[in-house]
Amino acid sequence: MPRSIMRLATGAATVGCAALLALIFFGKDASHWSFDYAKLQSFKIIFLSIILEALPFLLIGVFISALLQSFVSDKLIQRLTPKNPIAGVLFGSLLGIVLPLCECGMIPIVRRLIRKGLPAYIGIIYIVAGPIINPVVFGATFAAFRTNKHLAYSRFYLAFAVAVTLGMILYYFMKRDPMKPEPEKHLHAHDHHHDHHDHHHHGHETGGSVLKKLADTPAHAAEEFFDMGKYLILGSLITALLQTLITRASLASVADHELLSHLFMMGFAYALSLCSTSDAFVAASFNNMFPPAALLSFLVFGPMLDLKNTLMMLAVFRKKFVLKFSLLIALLVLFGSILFDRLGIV
Amino acid sequence: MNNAAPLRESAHYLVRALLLAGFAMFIVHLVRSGDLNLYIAPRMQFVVKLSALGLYAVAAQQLYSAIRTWFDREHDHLACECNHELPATWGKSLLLYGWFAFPLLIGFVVPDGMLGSSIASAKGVQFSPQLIVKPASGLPTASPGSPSVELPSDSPLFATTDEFTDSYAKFGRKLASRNIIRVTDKQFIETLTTIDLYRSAFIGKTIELNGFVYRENAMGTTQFGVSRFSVNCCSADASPYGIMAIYDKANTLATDEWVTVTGKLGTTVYNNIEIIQILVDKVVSITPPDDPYVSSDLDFGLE
Repeated sequence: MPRSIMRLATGAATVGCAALLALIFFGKDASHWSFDYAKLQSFKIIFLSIILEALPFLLIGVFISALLQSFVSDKLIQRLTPKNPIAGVLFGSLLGIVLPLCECGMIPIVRRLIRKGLPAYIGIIYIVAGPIINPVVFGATFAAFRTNKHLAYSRFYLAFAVAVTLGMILYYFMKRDPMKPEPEKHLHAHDHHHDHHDHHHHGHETGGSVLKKLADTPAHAAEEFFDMGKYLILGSLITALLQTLITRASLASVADHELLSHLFMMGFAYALSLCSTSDAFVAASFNNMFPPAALLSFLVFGPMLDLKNTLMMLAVFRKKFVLKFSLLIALLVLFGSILFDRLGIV
Repeated sequence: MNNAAPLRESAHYLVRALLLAGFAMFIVHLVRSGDLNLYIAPRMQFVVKLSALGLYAVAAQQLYSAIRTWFDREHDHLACECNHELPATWGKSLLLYGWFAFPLLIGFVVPDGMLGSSIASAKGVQFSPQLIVKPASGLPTASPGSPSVELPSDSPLFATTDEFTDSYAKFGRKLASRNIIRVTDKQFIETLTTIDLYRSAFIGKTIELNGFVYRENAMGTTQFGVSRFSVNCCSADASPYGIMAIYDKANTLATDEWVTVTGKLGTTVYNNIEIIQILVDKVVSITPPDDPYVSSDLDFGLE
């Protein structure tokens, strides 16, 4: 049932996007259907550049996930996982330092790890904190904010604080399994019937040579590539449309209002779906328009949650969970950045 | 076992192999034609090229699966017993694979053009880059006690307020000692920022730079912007920078045309703020550079 809704939603989104495309590229005046070629080309460049830049990370993600599936046993994952929730939350928050990936790469890996028995809250915290708390983003943020080191540091403090809070909330209040149930049909494994509501044990985990497992890796990677890729394309498409459509100057009027400026920058970060390695440079270009605390909202919220990764998360997690979780992140970031402002940390 | 199943499965693998190879070929095509520069900043290009290899590898495996499934259809084949699923109906398959073909179609069919005035005006060209390195005044600032960066006053010429503007002041002294300030691609943003920050030291000096002709409604008929996009990862994070130019024969220049502009630095008031303006001596049309974007110089101030 949810599958058919998803399909309908995708269809509706496609039609909507097509309509938007038509509106942008053709003049609004129906009697003079002039084609705005420059806009189409800009749209093409932005749309494909997001996909091209995400591809390597998505591939790394699906390959690591495939290798995990083939070579790392559930037992090992469970043994290595911290049992103590505080240790677990810290582990999830700081995992990005040793495994610096962007969101596109993380989601397939986390899905695999959770299916292998990693507690869901730890995996989710990694998705949230990993794109910020990692050395690559650290370098880029300081390069972009050399004039305002307070803001650069604040980004990491606030991201860490939000991740830890979120982790504790998830640990204590998340009662249901947040994962979407796995597909029930096996096209190419006709006579296997697993219990689909439990952790899965794959045939080749127990048997099969290393060579066979290695040969299976690209097959798993391909499956996941198509699974995740469709959301990546949809996210890139909407983002590129918004970028071609939104005029920045028309938005500046909200900058003076504290709450609005925060909400605006968060919404903007969400719609832009930038990689966390480059968003600091974009935030810096708003330096003269928005107060630092609003830029902080942008810098922390964007990598944690954006259009592209929400769609990818919908492939993995239940819709209700994604919704609640998104609201929670938004509130925590908003509250946190206003608090940082009041305390004079930014 | 249903006899049609392996055939269908084989077709799936084949389509997937084609799509994956299509993405890889698109990347190779962009590298060959040099157009990858329009999409991805140079420092990120290596990983994108690597991903083409990865895509080819996965495509090859899918092709192998397609052949294997086809020829092994009489036997119970050895496909992995994992929980992946192929789309159940033709309609679903068409939707899924069509969706992946869509970016490829746009990629190969729509000719590559550079980002230009159209997107620059949507994003807003930054004519006053000093605003980016100093926090806004008049806006609520972090806290009453936080140090504020003052605009450099006219004397001394290269006043600094902290360690960071120090590197701009140092660069400014270097620039000011030259006869002609030639703006390089590598330090395009830093040069414009320095000139804007310490403008009084540069008034009357000769500058030479490349960029595309940018126009917007608020400009006079003899004015145009000499602009470049700053791109740090991919063109989704493009931000346009520019310097205003005033030229009697500005109407001979087409919007988005690439030019080398030489002229004397001065100032003008534009949209209620004072900005740098070039009083143009000479404009030469040039072919667009292979690498049209500039990016922040990460080594700036560290030399």
